[in-house]
Amino acid sequence: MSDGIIRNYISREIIRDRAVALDNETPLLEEGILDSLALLRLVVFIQEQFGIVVEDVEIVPENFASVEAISRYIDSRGDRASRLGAT
Amino acid sequence: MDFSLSEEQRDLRAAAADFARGELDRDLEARDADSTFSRDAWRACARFGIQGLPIPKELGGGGADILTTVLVMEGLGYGCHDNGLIFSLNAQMWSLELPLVKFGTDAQKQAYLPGLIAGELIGVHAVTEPESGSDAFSMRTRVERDNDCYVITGTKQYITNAPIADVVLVFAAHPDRSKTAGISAFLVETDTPGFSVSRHLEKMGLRTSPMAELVLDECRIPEQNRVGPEGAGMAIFNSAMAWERSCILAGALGAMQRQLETCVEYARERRQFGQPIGKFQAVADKVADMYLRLEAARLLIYQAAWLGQQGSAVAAAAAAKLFTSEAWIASSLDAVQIHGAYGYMRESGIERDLRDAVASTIYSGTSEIQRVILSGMLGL
Repeated sequence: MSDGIIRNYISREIIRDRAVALDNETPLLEEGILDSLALLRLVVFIQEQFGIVVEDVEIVPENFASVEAISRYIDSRGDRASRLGAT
Repeated sequence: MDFSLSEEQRDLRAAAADFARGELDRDLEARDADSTFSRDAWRACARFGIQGLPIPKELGGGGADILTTVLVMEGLGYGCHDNGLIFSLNAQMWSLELPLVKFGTDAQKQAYLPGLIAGELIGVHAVTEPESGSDAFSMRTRVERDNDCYVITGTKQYITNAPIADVVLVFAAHPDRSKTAGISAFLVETDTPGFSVSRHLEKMGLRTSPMAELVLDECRIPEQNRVGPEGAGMAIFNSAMAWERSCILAGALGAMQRQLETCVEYARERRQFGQPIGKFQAVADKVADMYLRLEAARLLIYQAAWLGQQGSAVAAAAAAKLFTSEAWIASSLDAVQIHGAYGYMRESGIERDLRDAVASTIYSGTSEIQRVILSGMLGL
């Protein structure tokens, strides 16, 4: 579910009216869709939208290379929060 | 939002100011003229605990939160007239020590943090290049893998602390990758073959903080000196910049407080046309504006530090850096003007604050870049 929200945000707020095709595998960093400022904005959006704190050490290509990677990262944070809440 | 100060925090700020007044300004006029860094003052700061203040206690630091660190730097800026020394301290703390704490391996932390905290080692990071300033990730310094080493070649410019540094966190680009995903960071010891300080740079202000150009000529860096994973350079840089934007001008709050008090005292004592110059509205207005700028800057910096501790302060940090730097220049100009010809003389020390303040709208992201960040965060 998070992939749709992330894809919509990137299309609406970052790509806007540029002619860029975006799917879950589009390489956001390699293609230059996410520059450093866009990445900061996206991180703030993720924190507000999903109620998680994105640590500096987590803002790495492995977690932000594509919509799919971001979604996977958000889901893992949710899982971690659930586990912490259960203990 | 709650950043009301505890009694302990107020005491720490006052203790830093007392310490700074006693030890740090020795021969400042001559050192400013000669561009001389004071290693004695640097070591004194380490003994007081400045360099290690925001570092966790388990790593040998003071374990202070960021707001407390800001308050101590404010006290330091109030008591110490050597803005260059404070700039050098900031450069090491925010651009090298905190990235090491956040991204470094245990071995890297153990190798460098104790010396940096004790004042025995001096360090900084190196990002800026002749062709890439605000557009930092367009850097041309290249890194290529060679078995268990990395080979780095390039030139870094306007690097604070470079002539005195023992270790530099060097950012370099992998040539076959994009500029956002292809930057890595490496701890480079300055006695590494191929590493050299090529040119010392004379500055308008902050003259006691040495600056130089660095050359890396096929420097071979062991893999264990890479900080974070390959491609984490942008994350490391952004993390350092976030703290720098929030905190680097905390010392300027102290300097602006000192300026304000000096100007009030002068405006009450200096008489022209049969009365203190502070009785003239044109002078009194300047003092009121200095107070207004100082209080607004203080709130913005405290807020950015507090929000940073909660997790995110992108817009608040940009606002704090932008407003405080421009306020410091404006108040420094007012301080010179209120003191008249005396304020323009080097012996007054008042013009030195102005020269030191001018750089603040340039380093750690220019005012133009802070406005880009702010407008971007507002959705433009």
